[in-house]
Amino acid sequence: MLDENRAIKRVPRSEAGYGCEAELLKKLRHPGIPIIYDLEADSNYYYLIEEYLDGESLHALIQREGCLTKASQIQWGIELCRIINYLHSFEPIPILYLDLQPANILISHGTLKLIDFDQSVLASAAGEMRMRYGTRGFAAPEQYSGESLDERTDIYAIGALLYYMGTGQSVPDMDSAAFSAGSDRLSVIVGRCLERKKEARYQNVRDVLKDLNELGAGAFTKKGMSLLRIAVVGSRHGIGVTHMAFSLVSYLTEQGVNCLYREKNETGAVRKIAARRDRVPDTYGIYHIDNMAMKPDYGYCVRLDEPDFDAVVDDLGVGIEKTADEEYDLILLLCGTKDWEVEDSIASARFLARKNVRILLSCSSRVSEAVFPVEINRMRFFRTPCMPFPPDGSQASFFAELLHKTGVETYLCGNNDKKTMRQKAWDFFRGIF
Amino acid sequence: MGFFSRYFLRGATADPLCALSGKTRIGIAGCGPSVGVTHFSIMTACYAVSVLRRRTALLEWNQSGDFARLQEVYGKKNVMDSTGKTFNILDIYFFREAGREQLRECLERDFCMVIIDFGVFREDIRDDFLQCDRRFLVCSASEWQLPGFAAFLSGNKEQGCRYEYFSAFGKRENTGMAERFLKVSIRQIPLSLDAFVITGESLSFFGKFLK
Repeated sequence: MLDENRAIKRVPRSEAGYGCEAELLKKLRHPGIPIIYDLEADSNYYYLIEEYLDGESLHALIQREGCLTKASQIQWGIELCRIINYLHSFEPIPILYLDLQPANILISHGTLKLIDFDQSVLASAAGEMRMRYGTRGFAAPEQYSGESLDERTDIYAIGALLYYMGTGQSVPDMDSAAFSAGSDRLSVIVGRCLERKKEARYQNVRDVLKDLNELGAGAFTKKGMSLLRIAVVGSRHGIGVTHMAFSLVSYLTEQGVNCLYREKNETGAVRKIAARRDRVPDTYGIYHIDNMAMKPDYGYCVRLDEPDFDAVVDDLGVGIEKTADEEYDLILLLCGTKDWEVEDSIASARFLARKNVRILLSCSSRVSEAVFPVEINRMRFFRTPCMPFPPDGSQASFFAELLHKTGVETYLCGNNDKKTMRQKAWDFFRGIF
Repeated sequence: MGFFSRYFLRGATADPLCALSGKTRIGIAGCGPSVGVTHFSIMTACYAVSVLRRRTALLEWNQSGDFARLQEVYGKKNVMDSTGKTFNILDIYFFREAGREQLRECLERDFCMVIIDFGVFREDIRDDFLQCDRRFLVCSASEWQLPGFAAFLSGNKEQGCRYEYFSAFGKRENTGMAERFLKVSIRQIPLSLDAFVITGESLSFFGKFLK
């Protein structure tokens, strides 16, 4: 008895040429394409035995989590382009996929997989196709007409998928210039993929990949800004450090900052969330949950590539001494003001007195910063609001105030105080791109 | 109470996850010689310690002497018993020349995961192997080792379904053929140059079956 599942696909023999294509698919070896183990046939059907992949389709992911952050769009876009580039440069004859759509993209164990090669053809045979299929909203204009199909047909669909990831909708019937009207760089890439005329699109997928890679290399790095590092630490256990760190990451991500939560304590919170939600990490060891990127506390043996992020939020737990391990741009110290908590709060605040620190008093505290000695009382205090988990963005004004005049805000906005934080962030990114 | 026991009682902190999930005993054996059992055992222990964050013991229940050589190279500290057969590398507790006595001690102590490197599968370890919660059999899909694997399976038909099969060597096509003809499912162990390093690839590999 096999413990492992295999997927079996049955295709009528009447679909002439399928056997040849399946033989070709057997030769494909790419981490983003399920392995074809074998092709069997009887008098009526072909049976394609392929790798079984668990996960959810891009369609299901968008339905569940809503449209993706720009960072996720770029990440999945890069993975998709790598697969399509592999197909388009396959020897001896390139392969066209021709039906890129959300239901055919599977997110399996944090990796994007392309499934269902029903409509794929050898590039050399694309001109002879009489019957054409595609998915409305994702198929290129030439798939509706008699115009020839080539690599650029798949490039249109890549643009349509990137658009879908960012909006949750398929491409409306409008001029491609409208997509490029958004001034950010990603919109320009999407708009160029979605040009109605093939000649105006990217001419090969390598160029799309190059632009996405450049875009994903870190917006701040482009502007010469270093990685933003924020530490969240508590004066004692159970005071809500992890909750605060998650909320901050959610806020920064919402503001368009490509932000990573790093667990630097032994609570195992990320693993517990992942276990409850049945999630697995990507190849960087990062979990993507509720639109947040979370890295658990791994041990010595784990050596993983470090993807580019613009900001990291370190959850130090109660490890106040760990604030000396890195140069943090900002430290958020959570303190309690109850009688049995004040002693730890004062000791922690004194320890961090010379650093760029903000003291956060728990929302359940009745008394204020007045309980602290005078020298600590000069520090900046904030009372945390009640925050739901998963974060719902309702604390934006709190974080805007918290980050005001910390130096961190320069990562988020310019100097125009009249605009909202979101508008400022948007302006900031517009400037970069 | 010996020195060994005192060390654990005093020096080790209890693993809170252990209380929730219970202790897990994983037996790893090879269908033949030189199929990479020790390498895979160390990889598994590294994953347990560094990713699952479980307090892990790795027992050498075979006569290979590999752990002694490992101790010579890395085992700079950590004599935990008077015989000096226990050492620690990267938070993994290694027990060389181990047997039932050491296994019993490990299960009594606060190890959350106990991994046993049985070496080549043989009759005298069958009962102990079958008593493990998970039983990993490492085979090789190399052309010259597949016949040995087939012979092993035909000789162990009764217990065959109680094992989880792994292959470190050989082409993926060979593994596929072996799965088809021998009617077992075989997980392909990713290429690992250093058994003490968990890469992104091995992370996703272990994540599929070890939680």
